[in-house]
Amino acid sequence: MTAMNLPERSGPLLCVAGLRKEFGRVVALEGLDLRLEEPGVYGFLGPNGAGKTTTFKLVAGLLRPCAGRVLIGGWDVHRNPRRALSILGVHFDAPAFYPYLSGRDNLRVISRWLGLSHEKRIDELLGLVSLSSDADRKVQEYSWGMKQRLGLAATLLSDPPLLLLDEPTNGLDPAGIADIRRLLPQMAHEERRVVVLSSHRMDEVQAICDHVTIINRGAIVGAGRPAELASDSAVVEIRCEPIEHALEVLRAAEPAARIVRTGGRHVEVTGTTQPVAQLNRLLIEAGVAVEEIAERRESLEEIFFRLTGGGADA
Amino acid sequence: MRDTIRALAAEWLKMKRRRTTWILPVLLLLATVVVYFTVYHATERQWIGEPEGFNITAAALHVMLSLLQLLVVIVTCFLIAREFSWGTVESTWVRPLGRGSWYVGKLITAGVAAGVMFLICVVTVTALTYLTVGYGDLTEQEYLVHAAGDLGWRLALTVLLTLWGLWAVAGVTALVSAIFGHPGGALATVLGLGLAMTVLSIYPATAPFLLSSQVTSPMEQMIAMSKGVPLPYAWDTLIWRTLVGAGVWMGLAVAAGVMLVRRKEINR
Repeated sequence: MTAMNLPERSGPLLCVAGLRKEFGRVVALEGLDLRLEEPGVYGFLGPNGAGKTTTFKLVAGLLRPCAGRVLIGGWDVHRNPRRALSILGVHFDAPAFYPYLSGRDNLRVISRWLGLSHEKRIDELLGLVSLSSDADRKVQEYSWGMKQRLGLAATLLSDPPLLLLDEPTNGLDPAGIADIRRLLPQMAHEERRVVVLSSHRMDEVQAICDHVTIINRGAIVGAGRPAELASDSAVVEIRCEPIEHALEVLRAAEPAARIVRTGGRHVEVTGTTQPVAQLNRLLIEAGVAVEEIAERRESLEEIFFRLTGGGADA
Repeated sequence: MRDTIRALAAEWLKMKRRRTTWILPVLLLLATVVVYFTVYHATERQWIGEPEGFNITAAALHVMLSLLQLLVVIVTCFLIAREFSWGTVESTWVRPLGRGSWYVGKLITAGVAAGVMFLICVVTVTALTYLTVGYGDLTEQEYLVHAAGDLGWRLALTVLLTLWGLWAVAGVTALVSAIFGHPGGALATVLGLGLAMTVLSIYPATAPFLLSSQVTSPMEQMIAMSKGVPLPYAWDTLIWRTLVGAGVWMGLAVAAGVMLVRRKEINR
């Protein structure tokens, strides 16, 4: 990797303030605020239609906000697009290329737009995304995963300090996914970039993100380090009989908690205000036979489902 | 300016890698030869105007102009609308390259393509006329209205005005392509507009304002000039009609196109 360019900046790397976007009557984003300055990998999670891609498109200037502003390096992306976009590298899911050109020529075209003529840099990036041997094949012969890899190389061509990556591992084989998981923290911590990652894979986000923002129905519903989000609430798993009676007792004792029956004799309580021992005593006093009761930390997936109402895929 | 040069460099790389870029001129050359000899034999049989000399060049170019307009529309449409339908415009517009420059780069590319295609037709027809009929006694023909002195530049003027009209067609097509973002829709709309203009041009009051008339007027003048019949337009009228009329069309289309792409949202 070459030394990263540092385009002129007059503010934080990314500052999104009161961003609102409507498509007809549908409100896609409702007053979104984000401020990213410190290098790191920032996860951006949300169910389908939550507003992740809309946010990315607003940040990249492809959509115009109904209200609010996007500042990249202090530059408004709509008023000073050239300066703002020189700081940004963005990769959308299913990146589009000229199908009749080779992978290498597609990068050359982008390179010409950027006013660069570094064949060495193109070779380097093709190597980085493991496309060196297929670089001279036409893109129309590429698989989905190969296009994703080429999209990443195109994003990195100008060495931007801010990267927005929308589902970059979608369609990649396990080796490709592992490469990306290794590459992103390296780009964030060793090369001092801000990497914003939108992903459907909770394990991936939990493994590589330093900070997670959960978005639902166009608004941020949770944000923090994965460990911090998990420590906010624990899950109490209970195996007991009779289960209906146990549910009644728990709902009466913990009206604000999320109580879910997960099996014939299993129940999970999230967001309880009482210690486990107290819950255990309550159940026993109510005549419930408690076979097992244990507390564990919530996984990111559980946090996600709790905050977004559950059910939808991320 | 720097952005436009970058956009042009990228366009050139894309164009030279396309097989169509090299096949189209060859096909156009062949089409011109076919049209020329068809006109040549037709004029021999008195189907089109007078049989002699320069008439064949003008008549063949007049026929080729319809094909050229169609080709200019198709090339411009595909240059711009394909970027939207493929989604490649998304990856261009997230780079620090002005959208206006990107659009102007496309227009210049379409203009150069139109110029090259027109040049192929003019050179081929002129060369074939020279080989089959010859230009030697051209200015001595009785039917020529114009004296030898001003014939050359007046013919050149009609050729240049025709090219100017073709560029205006490219400008309007570019705007429609940017609005539709799909080659099929854009192509249908431009052809529909062309048809509507042709129909409207039967009303003499509207004709001077229609782009279709402005494109064909210089060639009509050339035909009349070469036949020796009275000219349909006074030279001043022709210059204003084509230069200013088509220029207004082109200016409005380019300004609207640049404004449109600057504000256009991309949401695939």
